[in-house]
Amino acid sequence: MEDLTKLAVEAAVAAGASYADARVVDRRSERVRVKNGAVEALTDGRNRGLGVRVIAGRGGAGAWGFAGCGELSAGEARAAAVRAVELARAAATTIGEPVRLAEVEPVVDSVPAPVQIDPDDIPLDDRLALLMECDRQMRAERVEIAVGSISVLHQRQHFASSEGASIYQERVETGAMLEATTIADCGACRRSYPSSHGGQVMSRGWELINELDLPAHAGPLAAEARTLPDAAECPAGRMDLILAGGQLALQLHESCGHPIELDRVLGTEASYAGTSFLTPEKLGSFRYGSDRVNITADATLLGGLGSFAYDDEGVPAQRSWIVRAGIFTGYLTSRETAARIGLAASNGSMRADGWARLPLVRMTNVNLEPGELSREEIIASTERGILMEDNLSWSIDDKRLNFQFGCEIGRLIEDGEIAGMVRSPSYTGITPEFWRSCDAVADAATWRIWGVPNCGKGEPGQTAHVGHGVSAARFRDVQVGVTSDE
Amino acid sequence: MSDALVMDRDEALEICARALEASTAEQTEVNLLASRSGLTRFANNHIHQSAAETNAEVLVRAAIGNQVGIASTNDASAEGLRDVAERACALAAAATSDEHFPGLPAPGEEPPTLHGNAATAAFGPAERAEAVRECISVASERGQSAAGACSADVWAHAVANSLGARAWQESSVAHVRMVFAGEDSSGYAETYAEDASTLQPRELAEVAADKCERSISPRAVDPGRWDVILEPPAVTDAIFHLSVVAFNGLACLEGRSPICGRIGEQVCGANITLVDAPLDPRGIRRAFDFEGVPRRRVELIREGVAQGIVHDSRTARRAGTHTTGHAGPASSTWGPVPFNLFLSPGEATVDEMVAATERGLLVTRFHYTNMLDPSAAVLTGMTRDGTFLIEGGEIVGGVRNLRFTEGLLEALSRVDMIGRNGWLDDYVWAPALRIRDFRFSGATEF
Repeated sequence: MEDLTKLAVEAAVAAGASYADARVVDRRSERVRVKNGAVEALTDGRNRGLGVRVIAGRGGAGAWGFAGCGELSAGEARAAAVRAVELARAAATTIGEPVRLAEVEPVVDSVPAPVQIDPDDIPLDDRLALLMECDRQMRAERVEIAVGSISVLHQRQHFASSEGASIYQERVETGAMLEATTIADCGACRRSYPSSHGGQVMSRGWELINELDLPAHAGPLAAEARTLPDAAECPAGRMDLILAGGQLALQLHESCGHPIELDRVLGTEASYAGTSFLTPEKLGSFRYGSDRVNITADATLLGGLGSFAYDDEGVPAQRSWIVRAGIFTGYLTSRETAARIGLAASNGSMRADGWARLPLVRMTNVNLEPGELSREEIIASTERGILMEDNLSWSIDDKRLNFQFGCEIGRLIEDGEIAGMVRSPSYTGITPEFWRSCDAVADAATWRIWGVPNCGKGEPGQTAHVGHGVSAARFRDVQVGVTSDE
Repeated sequence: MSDALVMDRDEALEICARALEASTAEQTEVNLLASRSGLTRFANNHIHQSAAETNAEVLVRAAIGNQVGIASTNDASAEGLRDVAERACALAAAATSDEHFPGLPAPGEEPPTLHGNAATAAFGPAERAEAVRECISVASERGQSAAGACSADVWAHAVANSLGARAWQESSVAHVRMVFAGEDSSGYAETYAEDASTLQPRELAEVAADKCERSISPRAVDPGRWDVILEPPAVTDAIFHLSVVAFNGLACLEGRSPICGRIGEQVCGANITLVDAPLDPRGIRRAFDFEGVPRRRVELIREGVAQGIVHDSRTARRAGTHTTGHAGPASSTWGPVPFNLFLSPGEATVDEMVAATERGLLVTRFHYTNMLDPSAAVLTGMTRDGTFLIEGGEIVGGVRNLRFTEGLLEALSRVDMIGRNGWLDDYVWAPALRIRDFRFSGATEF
């Protein structure tokens, strides 16, 4: 790995690049998925290759070029490097600002994956038996569709740059989920554990699966799915809203995580994913949320899906403030975008989806820091509201202002107590209004990092694995029940 | 010398054969996807990303009785192919029995051989940069800021199985998209084609620039029920979402589809006809699926009546019918999905629709669409890059963007004008539609 990355960097510089970096990435991904008593998918994927990124053209201050090749050989590495320089020179024919990179100290390092129990030590038979037991319990509750899945990713990567960096990193991700669905006249009613859309995924080993204790949750989960069609439909109107777990994580992801990506702010995603309302003149002064809202980006959290030792520019993992006491104070940056707004250094948020993709500014672990009340105290101090859990549907505009979410289940709160379930709950709002209405954030007792393994961005499409540490939070006077004409 | 653009039939099937030979399973299927892709992205009137990729992925499905294992690699060396076959076999040996696995498809009718487009294969970084410069020059002349992407991809797909089935095709897609931004407005244009020489970036740029100019100083309008003209990019977005949840054989079997049990029933307006036509030259043609089965033309809705759904061999067996050739990769659990959709055109132009609208909205395209309730086909999303107010049969200016939340089958029951010209967005070809009382559920600030 190391030899190929260095060879590619040297070849790029020899071909005229003023800067070059290269990554060899070797991934192994396994998945076991059981549905209604049968193995629906048993997969083992291997994928490896080399990506070379260069700056070339216009006297060395030109433009980016990137070439990836799936064949690992010295000849292909040299050819990819030369191709990247050609691509950069073609790009440099349009007039833009010269590419400038914020400084970073070149690092030589080797970082193993921080796992306690290597998933490789768990035989396939044991993984299957665990899911089959959960499946049996879910179907005992007579749901129409019972699904369980366990996924494991092993990744080895070597990064080298023309500035002298040489970094080897290993990564292990483990995840699991259960889903139970009832088909009724009102439609499909689904419940998930521990969260929807792939469940919980972390940069951890099999110890995560042990902690999730899937069999203990399978039966109750399915029982709730079975009774959900009998629940009342979500009311329409304005009321207090409490979000928890995976749904609060996704709210944070869509309405804070994406709009703080500085490449997007500066317009490079404008034609596809969009731009951001958090424009640079707002930095340091814009009231994003209430005083209770404190948001960090932290790639150093142990086990977070957005954790790493170095990003894909060789910048060390960091923790930085995004929103402090409600005021917008920071972006996620790359070396180039940091320099573009006058920052001395990047906060290390450049990540690529494997060897074949150019790194982009991506989320690490973007977290809503814990507050002071317990989750129970928040519910108890809510006169009339609704607690929503586990996402079903999400959508937000191209500046990340108007959002709308649908959830699997809602729990009505009346006079400080849970008064019953509602089905098909949904809510909508405008990002800063919504976060300014946040008057309570739950304490550290229920704070945990949720993995989002399907964050899409860029062209060609890239999927990032990111994390969000959250507990629960209350938002006052929110529009809920979006399907009604009233 | 081969005239293949990525990998010719003999070489591709030879790689498949080597993986088949390495398998000890009772049945084995090999998919090979070899690709060469190039992309140029631009923003703020200059190129910021210029990238290229070559790769070859091999996907092996091995079956021992009804036990199935799936493995993949992008190492097509002899050792890599032996390893991927062995891993698939090991997984099959460890799997439990799958009563729904019908066995691999036996060789049948040979799918037609499609070839990629040489102009698209030759559309390299210099050609893409030239196309982008044309876009940027139009934006600059109008005082606007251009962002977008121009790409050219070619790939070869081969399928072989141990029963003797063999299939090979090449495909190509060239694409350019642009969004031009002004002070408080934006405009959009985009095209997909098999042949990169037909992209016409300057003409598209004029469309994007016009939309940007015409939507300056957008006014706020109230959400609610509006007569709406959806231009083709908005229609294709909605139709794709509908098709994924409604005409998917697995979703129908599991009771999750909004047309479950409704085949033969009127599900939308009598002026709506939707087919999946994999070989229609107006689209990006796909001759066979990931089981090597020829993709069949499937009528999904005829004159508002639900006619059919698509199947792979697994869902077909459960439904007691034949596969329609819509299998996805064996590793996918999504179920069969139609990818060559055509919504039948009508007689009107968009200008005629506008002229016939007393008060309504013209929507250029949607953004971030997502099913709020898949089993009822309730879709939500935002408008973007050119949303206009129509009064007295004329466009009177731009409006701030709105959120819609609408049942698609209900909306397709309120279509009263259909465009005569269609547009392709990779998977769907569709004309513009005028829809009465389309439901906008919210608004944003720009």
